[in-house]
Amino acid sequence: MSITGSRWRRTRACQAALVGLTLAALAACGSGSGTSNASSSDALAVPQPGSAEAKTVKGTVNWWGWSPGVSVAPLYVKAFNEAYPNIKVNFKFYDYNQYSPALRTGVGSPSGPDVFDLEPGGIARQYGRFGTDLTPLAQKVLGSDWKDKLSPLGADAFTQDGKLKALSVGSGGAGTLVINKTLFDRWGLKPPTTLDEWVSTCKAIKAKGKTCFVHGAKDAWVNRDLIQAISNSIAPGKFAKAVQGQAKWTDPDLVQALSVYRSLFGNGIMQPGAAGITQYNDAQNKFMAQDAAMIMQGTWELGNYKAQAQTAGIKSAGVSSPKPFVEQLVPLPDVAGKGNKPYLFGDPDFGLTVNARSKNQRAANIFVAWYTLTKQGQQVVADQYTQVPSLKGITPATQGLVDPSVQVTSLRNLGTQVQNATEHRQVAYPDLMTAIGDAASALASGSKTPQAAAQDLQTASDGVSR
Amino acid sequence: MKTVALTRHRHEQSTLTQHRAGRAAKGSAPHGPRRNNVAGYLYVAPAVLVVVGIVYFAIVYTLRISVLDWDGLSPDPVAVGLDNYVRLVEDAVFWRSLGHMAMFALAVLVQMALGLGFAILLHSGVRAKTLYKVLLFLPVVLAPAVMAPVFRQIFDADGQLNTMLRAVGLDALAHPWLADPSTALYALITINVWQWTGFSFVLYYAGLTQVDASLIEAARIDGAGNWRVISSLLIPLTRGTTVTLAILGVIGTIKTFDIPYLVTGGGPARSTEVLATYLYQQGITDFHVGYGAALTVVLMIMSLVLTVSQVRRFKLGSEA
Repeated sequence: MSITGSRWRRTRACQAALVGLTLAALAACGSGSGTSNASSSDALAVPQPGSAEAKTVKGTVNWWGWSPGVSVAPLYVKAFNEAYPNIKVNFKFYDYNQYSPALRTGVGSPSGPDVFDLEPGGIARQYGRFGTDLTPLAQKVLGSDWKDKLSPLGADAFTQDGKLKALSVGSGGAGTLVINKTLFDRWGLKPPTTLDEWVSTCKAIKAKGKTCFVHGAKDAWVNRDLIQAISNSIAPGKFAKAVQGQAKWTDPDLVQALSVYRSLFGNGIMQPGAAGITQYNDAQNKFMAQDAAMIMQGTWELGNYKAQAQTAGIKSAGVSSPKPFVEQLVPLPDVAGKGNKPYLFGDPDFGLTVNARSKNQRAANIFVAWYTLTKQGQQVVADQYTQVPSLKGITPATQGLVDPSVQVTSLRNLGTQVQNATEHRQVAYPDLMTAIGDAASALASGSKTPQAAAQDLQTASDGVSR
Repeated sequence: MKTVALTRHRHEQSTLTQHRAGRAAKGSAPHGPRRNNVAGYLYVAPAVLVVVGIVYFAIVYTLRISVLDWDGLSPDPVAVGLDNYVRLVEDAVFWRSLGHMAMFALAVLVQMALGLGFAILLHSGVRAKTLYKVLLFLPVVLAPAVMAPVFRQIFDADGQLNTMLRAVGLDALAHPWLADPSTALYALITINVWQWTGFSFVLYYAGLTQVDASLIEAARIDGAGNWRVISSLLIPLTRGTTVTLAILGVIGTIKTFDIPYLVTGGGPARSTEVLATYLYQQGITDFHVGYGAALTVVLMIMSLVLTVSQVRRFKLGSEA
């Protein structure tokens, strides 16, 4: 039975989803639907950045998001205001874990955002409906072949029912480890390429009194990345197929992937107590403080190729006199000896959506277009290194690297790989995402066998409505 | 006698005056009392609005959405009757969460006993009392969000607890406390006891300051030792505090969220999941708002039942 009467719609005006006394505290009243059509021709009029017309456009854009963070967002706003000085952008930052609850209450509210961050996967699925279709904007700015000019991951991740609900700012790729090359070189070690090499490398590193591979297995996302990477080294693409319901989680290749993942907790690779710490910031701090020589991170870690950013990161990890060291992203070892070529899987780090309820549609469109579709905006993205720009043909500046002899090549190779990646990293189905996290946690703690964990995943997958 | 008569006379006069004033008000100004009533309503209106508008509305709204299959955003929720409650009964994680909460509830006894012990110690002649009081109460005011990373570090495999154990030759006990499902819950309970013992201490200490010193002195003269004074005098005389702490402790247990959420996130392998973290996951992370609401309703009923039963058990109303 479906409740569709006007009474319900009135109640829905309180989008706050007051799940109860606990959840009610997170809620606030909003109103109305989020499906109005805002794509008038006026709203799509985007003057060239820096042009005389661009300087006359006035407006205010309230932008909500968890990324690019409070320290980096002002860089974008400043660069944007050089091109459009009379559009004021207010960035409201939310901690990632608080973003979805905040958006739930704010997106339909009159005091909600004009532009908001959207993450591929579950968040895009839930909140994409509140955004305008940005296809006309992309066509207007880049032409009819706009898709060819952007990374395929972006458009794919944010297209819902044929409508482009967000424009990708930039993408991140996973499936890599980060090594402390300074320590590796000092001890005469090479990045491991097989499971056996990984184990022996860890023995050597431990003999030096350091943690080999630090992993925050309390966080489901990093376990998911690791399992997907392991799975891809066994049977490329099968994990992604299982997410889409096109392969069984009980498939022997996936069970083997879960077995290999579990073995990492007992063969000396994973540090003891991994399941009790977070990737951010517990594990990352250990790596930045050079207490650990390896960590699982993706291309978002490229930001630490820059000496300035890395120094700040080391200081945040509690090191009083931070000295930069050389980080290098390397592929996950061929953990099952299958000989498959490692590759990156990824997604847009985030996309920008224009709220269909925004009263500042033109200013919002201009901001989103500048950020995601213009060379000026995308160059700022590229130069941060944390994301690979969505617009093709943008090359990051390479000043300020810790060790250009190693890192320039790495930066460019990984950038190309991310821009050409086609396998998604995010899971669009919250129940399955939770189930993968539960399975990883159970395997890490040894409370389930790989077969039982695979069966749990299949049960969760069977219950997902795709 | 004369004084009593005079007092009675004044009281009668005062009553008479009030009575006359009331009649006069009725006769000459018929709208006066009503105006006073309106003013009264206006005074309480903000509080009533807040309570009804937020708390009771939320309760009714929660009851309503607990019978829906809804993601919290869709304009077309589906009514599913009592399906969410049936699912709840069959949900192993729900029952496990209840078991974990029961463990937290038992730990309330520990923090009360510790609080009473510290209060008795500090109530006797101890030097640097103020310093001890501050140290004991400090955990109560420290934000769990601040302390969570600290405790993850302390209980880590290479953390301070294990370092200390190894330093005193107890290597065999060193353990990744939060990473092991068999110990993670106890680690969290320890944090909880650490956090709330100071609260028990303050209430007991306040209770002990109300105990007549002559009673203790008389007991001592009669030959009562320390244990006898504590068991026969101090514990019975602070019964009201005990009841208050027990009720607050149980309610606090039911609402436990921050420490498990921040320190372990309910893991590993759901070994520290409590009802509040589970309903947060269901309602917020997984977008099962209807099911999350059903869990909330259960949480609310548990709070009510336990509070009422405790009040009755301890006959709180008749104590005065």
